[in-house]
Amino acid sequence: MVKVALDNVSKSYGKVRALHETTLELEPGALTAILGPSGCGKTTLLRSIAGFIKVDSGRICFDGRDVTELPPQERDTAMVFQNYALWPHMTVFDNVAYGLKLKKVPASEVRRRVMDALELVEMVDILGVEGIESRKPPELSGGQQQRVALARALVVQPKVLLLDEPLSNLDAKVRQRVRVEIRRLQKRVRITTIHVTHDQEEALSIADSVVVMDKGKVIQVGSPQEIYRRPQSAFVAEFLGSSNVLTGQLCRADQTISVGGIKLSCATAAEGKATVVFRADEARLAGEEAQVQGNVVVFQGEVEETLFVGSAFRHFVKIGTELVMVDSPESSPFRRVKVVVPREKVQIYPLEG
Amino acid sequence: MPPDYVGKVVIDNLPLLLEGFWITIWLSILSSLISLVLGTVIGVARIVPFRPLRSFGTVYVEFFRNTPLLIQLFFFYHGLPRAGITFSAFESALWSLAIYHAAYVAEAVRAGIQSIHRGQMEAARSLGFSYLATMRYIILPQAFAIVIPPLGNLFIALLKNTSLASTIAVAELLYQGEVLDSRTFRTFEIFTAVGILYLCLTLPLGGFVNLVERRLARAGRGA
Repeated sequence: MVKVALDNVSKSYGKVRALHETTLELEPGALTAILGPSGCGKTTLLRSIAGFIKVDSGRICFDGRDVTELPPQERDTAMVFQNYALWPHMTVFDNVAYGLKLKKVPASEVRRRVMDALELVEMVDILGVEGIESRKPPELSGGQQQRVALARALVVQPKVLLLDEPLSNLDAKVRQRVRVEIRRLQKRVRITTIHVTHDQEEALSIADSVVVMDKGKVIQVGSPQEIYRRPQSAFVAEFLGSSNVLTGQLCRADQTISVGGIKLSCATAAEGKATVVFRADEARLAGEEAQVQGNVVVFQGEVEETLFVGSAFRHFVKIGTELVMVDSPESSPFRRVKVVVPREKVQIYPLEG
Repeated sequence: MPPDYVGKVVIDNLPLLLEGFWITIWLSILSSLISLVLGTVIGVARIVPFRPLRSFGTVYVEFFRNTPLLIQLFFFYHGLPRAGITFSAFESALWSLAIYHAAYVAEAVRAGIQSIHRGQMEAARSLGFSYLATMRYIILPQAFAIVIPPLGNLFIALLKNTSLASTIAVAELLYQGEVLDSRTFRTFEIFTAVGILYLCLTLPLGGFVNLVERRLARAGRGA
């Protein structure tokens, strides 16, 4: 199990900073998800670790060994790609075996390890030994190709496994299955794994640790629960799940924030604008006249639209000039409503600058 | 047998023409093979991440593609002996044909390599393949499947270009035709026969290229 550490790594393309000075330590043997919208630098980070990108400054270390200047083939990593990148002119067997053949592993051992790796991703059951020796990647489905790609990566026993949006090309159902497989495999082989994705559900469900990135910077690092329950910025809160974001005005003098036509008490050292965030599924609707008890925040609003989204009814409610979403199991019979949110579920983030 | 009939001169002198025919075939095969190897090396040189090699590849391609083959042939046969390097007529033809067409092979190979998705290279590199091993086992096999049709057309052109070797007295097909013509003055029949003999080589080659092209197109559609 290898510890991957980045020390002040940065990378620019012309004037565009793809990666600001980034310092990060990844736990050995864990699956770390790097999560962020497209263009946030997550792929740059992964490709720097793989060695496909020469970083401008900083160091990348595997277990204290500096690999910053090493070419990709000397880093003992293995990468799995969004588009599988299997070699179409080789059989499934050769795709998995070639890395070992080049390392001059004896033929009998190659065969055993290839079959073990394919067994691990359940491809032996799907194709049979004969299919493995005769079929070529273009004849396989996307999910099968990605399994073969995983076997090809695992068979060389890499120090670090790099997954570059490996599930993005698969359709929803297959994606769920392969996602579980990746988790199961990773727990079994205990290879330090970095999984890049823009899918928050994917990141939260399979990772031991999540790194949220935006605009070339690491915004927050933590366990999936920490990231989800205690986002430390409006960006993370918004990016993770169906969150509502309102703009409020902080007042230091009376320690309050004015938002959506009401005033909340709020310990603040700052003055000026702040974002107020709560989740669609943590709010509920009540009639305009209803009495509401407990430590809650109540906004007055008007339901503009109600959509049935399968698991719930999603109400679009106008609070002042801002639109928020509230999910509830039943459609609200009222037009003028109270939006009720437990106080501890409302997060307030002062805006920087 | 009547004493003289149309084409008799060709039938009577067929062994001579066939001698030239074999030399044309040999010259074509040998220079094709050399140009294939040389062109592949230069095609790869044009895309490696090492600038001096890339520049060399570019200069090679631009120089040999943009000067007439006939001049390169004369340079080898008449020019180099002045510098103390002497090639036989056949060797001069062989090398100039190979070097000239290697420039075109290089361009085809480069285009083929560049049409292979970047992920193919990266997958191999991340799994421990060196740059050259990746080229040899992953990229070039796929690139060649793509460039077989253009290479086929190139080798048809090369085959026809071997006729230039007659200018430095290589005893290939056209040269033997000229010899026969100067002896018999039966120009029409002789050059018709020579033309047909070239077609005997180029038409099957062209048909083969078409066949391969159709196969590849079908394989490309995944059928």
